[in-house]
Amino acid sequence: MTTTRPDDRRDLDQHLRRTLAAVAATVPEQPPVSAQAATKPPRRRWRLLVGVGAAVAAVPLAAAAVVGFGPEHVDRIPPSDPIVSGSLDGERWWIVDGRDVPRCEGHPSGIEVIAEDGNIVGQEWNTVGYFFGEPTAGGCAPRSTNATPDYSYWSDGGQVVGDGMLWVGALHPEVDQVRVAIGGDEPFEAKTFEHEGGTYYAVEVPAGTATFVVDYLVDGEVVVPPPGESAEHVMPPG
Amino acid sequence: MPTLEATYRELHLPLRRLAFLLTGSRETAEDVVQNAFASAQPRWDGIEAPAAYLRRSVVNLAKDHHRRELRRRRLLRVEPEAVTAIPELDETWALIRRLPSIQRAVVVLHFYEDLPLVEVGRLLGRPASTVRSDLRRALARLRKDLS
Repeated sequence: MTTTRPDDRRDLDQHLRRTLAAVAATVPEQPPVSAQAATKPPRRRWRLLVGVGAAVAAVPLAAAAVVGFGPEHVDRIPPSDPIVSGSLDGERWWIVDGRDVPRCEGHPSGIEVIAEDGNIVGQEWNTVGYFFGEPTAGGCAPRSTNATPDYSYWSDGGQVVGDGMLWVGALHPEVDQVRVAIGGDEPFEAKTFEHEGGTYYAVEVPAGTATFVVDYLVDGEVVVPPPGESAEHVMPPG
Repeated sequence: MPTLEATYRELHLPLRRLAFLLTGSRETAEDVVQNAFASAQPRWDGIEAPAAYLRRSVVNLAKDHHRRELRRRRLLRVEPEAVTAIPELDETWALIRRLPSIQRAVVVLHFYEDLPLVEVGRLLGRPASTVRSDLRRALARLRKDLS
């Protein structure tokens, strides 16, 4: 089967219909299951989101981050023993010790961000994890790293909380200052916190912000972002 | 009123296909459809038009997926991949996946679900005129990228 590139509106319409129908047809039939089984909440796994490299959306994201759809269900909100917590645009969030994954035994667990709206008691966890350094092939936090300070720009990321964004990062040990400028406001220094010997920070970016800048500094000097990364981040449309 | 079981058997596959086109992920599509049925279950007897209800639920869950999982979307590789085994279609699919989520939803609902733009607007909670504008921009971008 062959197809040609569309030249005019009608061709493009037909081309799109054919493309979407062909793509949809690749979703196969499944063996019948009972509606009761089908209506159980989906069972999810930890999903490794590192090392895929593509950069297409408005918000720069972390190389060293995982999205945790853990198999365990949310047993309590607020979580016990949060390291840091806050409320953004009316929605609460917490940072907790990263969960221990059996295959990552002996590795640091990093931190895990829990937003209230996506984590309802009885349903499954929906969290985002952070650690510094290039992950192992198995997706675990490295025991040690040779990463340079500019890797901090790869170890940050944001998630929507309310209509704002919670921006979180894991820092290279030499980075001693995180400077944040939200919109056109005066820059301020983000508070950092320690966990498992690593240094992290979290910044609440209010709803309605168009852009914000996060610079990492070593001895007062701004670390230059690595190629393909930027200190300026664009908030996604609401 | 059809039973949940019968509706599931009839609509599970088409809804999963719609969810895949909206999210670009087979796994997420499965989750979205399961969640749509799960949310419908406790109020099933009060749902007047199950097919429309479930489709709306899938569209909303897919929209929510886009909104909340910026990280995953960001890292999603959108280069052409062998989906249909027809390179031109795979390339077009990759371009559709790269559209902003609203434009992509408009394209999918209009060209795959064959819905008029007024109905697409109702599903997405946008005025028809805005949806027309979304579609115009999406087509312009696709035409440019395909040329």
